[in-house]
Amino acid sequence: MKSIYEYYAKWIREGKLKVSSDWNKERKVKFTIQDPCQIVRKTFGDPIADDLRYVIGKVVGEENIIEMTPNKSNNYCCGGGGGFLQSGFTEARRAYGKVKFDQIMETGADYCITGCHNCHAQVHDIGHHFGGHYSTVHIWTLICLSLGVLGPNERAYLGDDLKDVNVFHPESEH
Amino acid sequence: MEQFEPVIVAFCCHYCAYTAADTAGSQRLSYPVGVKIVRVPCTGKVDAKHLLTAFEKGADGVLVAGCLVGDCHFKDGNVKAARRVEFTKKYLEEIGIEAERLEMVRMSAGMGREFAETATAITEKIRALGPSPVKGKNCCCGKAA
Amino acid sequence: MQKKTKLQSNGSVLVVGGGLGGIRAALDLAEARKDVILVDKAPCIGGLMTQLDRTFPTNNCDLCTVAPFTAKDSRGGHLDMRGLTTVTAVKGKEGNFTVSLMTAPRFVNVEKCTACGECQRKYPECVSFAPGLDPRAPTCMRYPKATPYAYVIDMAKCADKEGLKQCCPVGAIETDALPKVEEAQCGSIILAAGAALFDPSHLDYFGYAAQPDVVTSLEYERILSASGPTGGKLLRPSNGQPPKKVAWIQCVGSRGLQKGAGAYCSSACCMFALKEAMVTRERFDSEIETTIFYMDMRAFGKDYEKYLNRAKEQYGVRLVHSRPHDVLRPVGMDKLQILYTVDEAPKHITEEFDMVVLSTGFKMNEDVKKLAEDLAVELYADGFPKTDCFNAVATSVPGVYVCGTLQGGKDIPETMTQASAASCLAGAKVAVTPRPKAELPAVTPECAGSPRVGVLVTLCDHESTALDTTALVEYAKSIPHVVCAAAFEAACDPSSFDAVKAAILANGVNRVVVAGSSPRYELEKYQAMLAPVGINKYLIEVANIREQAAWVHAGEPAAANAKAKQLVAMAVAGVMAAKPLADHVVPANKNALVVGGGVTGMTAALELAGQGAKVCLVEKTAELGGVARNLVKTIEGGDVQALIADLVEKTTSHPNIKVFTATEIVDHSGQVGLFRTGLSVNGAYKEIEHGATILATGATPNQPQAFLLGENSRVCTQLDLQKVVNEQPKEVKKWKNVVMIQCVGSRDADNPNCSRLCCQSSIKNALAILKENPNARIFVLYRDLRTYGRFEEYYQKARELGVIFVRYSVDNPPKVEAAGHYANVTFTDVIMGRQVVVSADCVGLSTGFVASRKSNEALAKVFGLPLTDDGYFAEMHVKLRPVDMDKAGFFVAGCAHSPKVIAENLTQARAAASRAMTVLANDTLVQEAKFAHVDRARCAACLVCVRACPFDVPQITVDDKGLGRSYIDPVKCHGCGTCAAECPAKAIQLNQFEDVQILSSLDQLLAKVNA
Repeated sequence: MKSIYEYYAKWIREGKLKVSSDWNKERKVKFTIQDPCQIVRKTFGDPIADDLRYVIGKVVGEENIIEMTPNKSNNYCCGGGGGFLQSGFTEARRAYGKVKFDQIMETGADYCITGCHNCHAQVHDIGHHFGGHYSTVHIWTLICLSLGVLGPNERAYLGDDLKDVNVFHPESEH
Repeated sequence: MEQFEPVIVAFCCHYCAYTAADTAGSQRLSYPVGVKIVRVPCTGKVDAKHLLTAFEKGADGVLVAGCLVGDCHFKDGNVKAARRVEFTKKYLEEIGIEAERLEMVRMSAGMGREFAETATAITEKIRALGPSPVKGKNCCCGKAA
Repeated sequence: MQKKTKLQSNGSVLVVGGGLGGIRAALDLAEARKDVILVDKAPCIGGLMTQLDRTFPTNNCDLCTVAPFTAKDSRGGHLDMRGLTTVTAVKGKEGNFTVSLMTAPRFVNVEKCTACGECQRKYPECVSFAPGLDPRAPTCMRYPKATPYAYVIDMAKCADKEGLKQCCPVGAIETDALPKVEEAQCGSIILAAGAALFDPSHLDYFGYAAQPDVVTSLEYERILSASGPTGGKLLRPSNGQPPKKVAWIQCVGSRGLQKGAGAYCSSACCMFALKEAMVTRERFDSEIETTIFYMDMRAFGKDYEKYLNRAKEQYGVRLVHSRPHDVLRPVGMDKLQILYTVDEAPKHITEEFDMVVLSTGFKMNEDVKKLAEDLAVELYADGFPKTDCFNAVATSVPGVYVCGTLQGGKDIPETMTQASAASCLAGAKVAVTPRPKAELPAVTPECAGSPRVGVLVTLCDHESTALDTTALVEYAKSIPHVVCAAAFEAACDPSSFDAVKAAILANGVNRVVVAGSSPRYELEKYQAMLAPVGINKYLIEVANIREQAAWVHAGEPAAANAKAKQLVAMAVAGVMAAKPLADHVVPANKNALVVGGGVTGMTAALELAGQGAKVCLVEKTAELGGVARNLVKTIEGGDVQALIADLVEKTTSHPNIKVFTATEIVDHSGQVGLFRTGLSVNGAYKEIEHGATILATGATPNQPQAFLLGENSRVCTQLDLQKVVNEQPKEVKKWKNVVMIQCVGSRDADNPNCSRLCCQSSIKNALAILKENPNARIFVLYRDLRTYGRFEEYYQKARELGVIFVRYSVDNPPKVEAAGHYANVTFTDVIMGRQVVVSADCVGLSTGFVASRKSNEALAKVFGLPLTDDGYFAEMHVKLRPVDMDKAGFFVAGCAHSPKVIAENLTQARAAASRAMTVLANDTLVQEAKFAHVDRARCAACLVCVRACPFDVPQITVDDKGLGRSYIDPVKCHGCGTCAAECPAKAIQLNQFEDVQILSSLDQLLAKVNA
């Protein structure tokens, strides 16, 4: 069993995936990283978290990453895992997610990058619920953005600041 | 003034009290350093002569520690010892040594805590009584007889 | 080229692994006069235990109590011990295995090596001494007292072979040595090679790989150990400073929690974490805060609950019920942070610690797994061998047995028990190998001679931190008549005895004082060790400076040192007054008495009978089978009734076994090898003679007055519940709610210990109920779920099937009330934070066992045996001699020792049988000279002794001068000394405890009082 992060990192190192962070050189949009429990702590440990950072660094520029504390294997759970998103205990789920929310807010980042769909949904929800200013985005969205292959209809989770960056086939919007 | 540290001879039977003292050791239950153990196969072996010699040589107290009643490895050595201790107590009174300085106690091999507690209690009791009057005869300090 | 030779020892047993289990198994076989080869791939014996600082529950090391018996010249030459040796191939089958052994070259000639250490000083890269914290270091002497006493060289790391060879002053280094390959025949094989420990390096969130202050429990032991990297100082690896706060995290690598962890519970970690915490506070600094983060405190062994209570109450070890999320060290911070939550307050807690210890569990050793696979032994997916549910030491291959942690995670007492059980089965089909016995020197007045006393201080440094052994030795030398004194630092090393023996011979020593632990452990050992150099066994005295000085006065070194000196002086005075004595050798009785006809007693009887002993099996009730008759199945599915039927059939039909039912023990006399016991068989008196006795009298199912037991028909014990499930499945199908309550009548003030078997029995019953009625809702209310070992997997399964486990605290127990047709159970759910009421169709109480106190007390009285505080039979040594009793020739097995499950009872039965065979294998018996003797010249025939003797031994006999005087038969005398104390003429003296000996000790003790 392998994680896609490992392949992203491998392909970027091998030059197969020609990502670039040039688009963010001037903008300096800040990103923080949510390490998913399942993939990092419970499965591959810190090495995969390092791969994830390598990929993100190449995509958004290392200088634009702001780490949460604690992170990697010791990262807090987002509060959405283990079926909690569907369990109906919304209040409890959000109460738990408050820890994550505060952690993200403390970084002051514009975006929280998530690599796991569960985390994405939860981080997005608590951002809205607690009135956060950040956007929640998948890692693949940013890879596509940096490759210039992200279409206009695939930008639902990007903030207005990135809506018009490197748009692929803008005519496909309608 | 330095606190008086009584010297107490504890005759302990191999099967119960001596083992209880070992148990106290392995549980790191401290008891006063003045309590010195003499191992005997059974308290039935403890002779009135041994008890009196201990006092004669200057012990401040003497403890005879055997098995619980009914648990004696040799049936009833502990009962016989108790009888001898009672007899010796009377004799001690006659010659002017407080009978409380001699005591018989019983415990099982597992009773390490009881051993440490007994040893401590007896030391305190003897400390309250003061040094053995026998000592006064041989040295200038303490009570002269 | 490799040399290949064939060993001539046929019909022997091969023991693989020289840890404690392997040593015990090999010694049992050797003592039963069977040839045994013990191999270990390490250069020295001792296994994992040698790495431990101390062991629970006595908090001492105690390796020295077994290791010396592996010395070359002990055990009648039946034991062939080989280090650096591996098994490369096995052919054949039970009764006729051919094993290929390869002994790696040591590159050091053991015969020549003096262990001067020169090679290590000059070539530290290839010759090293202490293992440090890295277990993979090329170590040779894993602990300073390693056996055999010689260095090993890692030749691959040596760049200058010639220089290395030349540096040895005695020419012991052989740089071109080759491996030795040998072949041996053996009848059976015992695998005792231990287990590996879980490596937490990949668990990044615990920071083990990155943070020097996060260590495993074994590394922490090494840090505590006097032979460890810090020389016995507790220091943080990161900065060399003493820690102020230390935390333990339990269940690392066990209970299926982390990646790569076994699904099982490793069974020993709770206890060793408690021990490490207690030792930390006791030995280093009582100000150090110790915290254990745990899931369930599994103190399920005999008296372990009391140990847990001591840790909490006496030592102030803090226990936190929590699984910490992670261990961090924020940048720029010197301390570690543990992040966790607790039951009561669902919020984040961040706490700082200086050191974090990961309680890592056991896992299968890859080398051992390979050997097991070569032997075609069936293994579980986790690599541990599969064993029979009624025979934990038998593998799927006949003739191949396992014991210790190789069989599954466990502590030392259980390892020792399994080792003896494995040796019982492995030795069953192997013949006794006759060997001539060494002649001991005759006892003559010369062996006393003019007193020349040798003092051996045998306490090792880490057991005697309070004592200054060097000063003690100097003091001993100053005592008149002491001709030599030495600290003998390798009491656990058989070969270091050679140095002692040499010193004794060189100085013409004829009396010895051993200053070490209790004479209960030391005396017999040194009597055996020193006999070959002509020291009469009655001219050895022990000064108990461990229990009576180093330990009780651990906190006051000045007092401890002064007392140790005094104890040594007393012992010298005593030994000066001692007389040499000769023991009697008499023929021994080779029959056994087994008391108790339950599954344990029957198994023990059958094992003994199978090895040729005639066995008398006594059962109090009219029927064989005991408490197990109430059981249906084991948790694994083993059919208990079929087991009983099979045992009863075999027992009653075995030609070597005589069964007495409805029989009580009424009197008892004699000594090991010559016991005489009176039975009341259906009221008629009968006397039997036997050489050894096994007590397997079981325990009593507890019936406490609690939770409406006996008052409400819905409330029953787990034993009853099991019956209902088995016999009334229709009733079970109707149940909606079942509540089980754990620890009823256990772990409380009246019965402080854990009954051990209840957690698994409630899970067994829960699973059985769900099988009949999958819709039943089952609640298990527990304090700590103690499903140790593989029982954990059933706990896991029960949770998967929806059994709800709710923890209750002892201050807030559940309530049971009658409510019409139901019993209402009210309890607090900590997670929900509210009270829950369940209307239960059935309330099963886990009532466990209590000692059969009354009958145990009666038996203890007749046999003269000690009981524990709670009424179970007390074993001789809780760790190393778990089935031996203080009285030689007595062994205990099964629930009479402490409650346990059937498989464990049967293992103990086999262990007791193995230990009993070490007695019964002897044709003759040494009768100690501890008897009373009469000075006929002083005797006035007053009859006081005749009346005083508890055993009616003294008689008035007429001698050849026609004078009637008291006579005490040495064979009959028990040696209590009552007659000597009562004799008005002081005509009677008790050997070994003569008045002059006692009075000399007293003189010495009180000498300074009047000075």
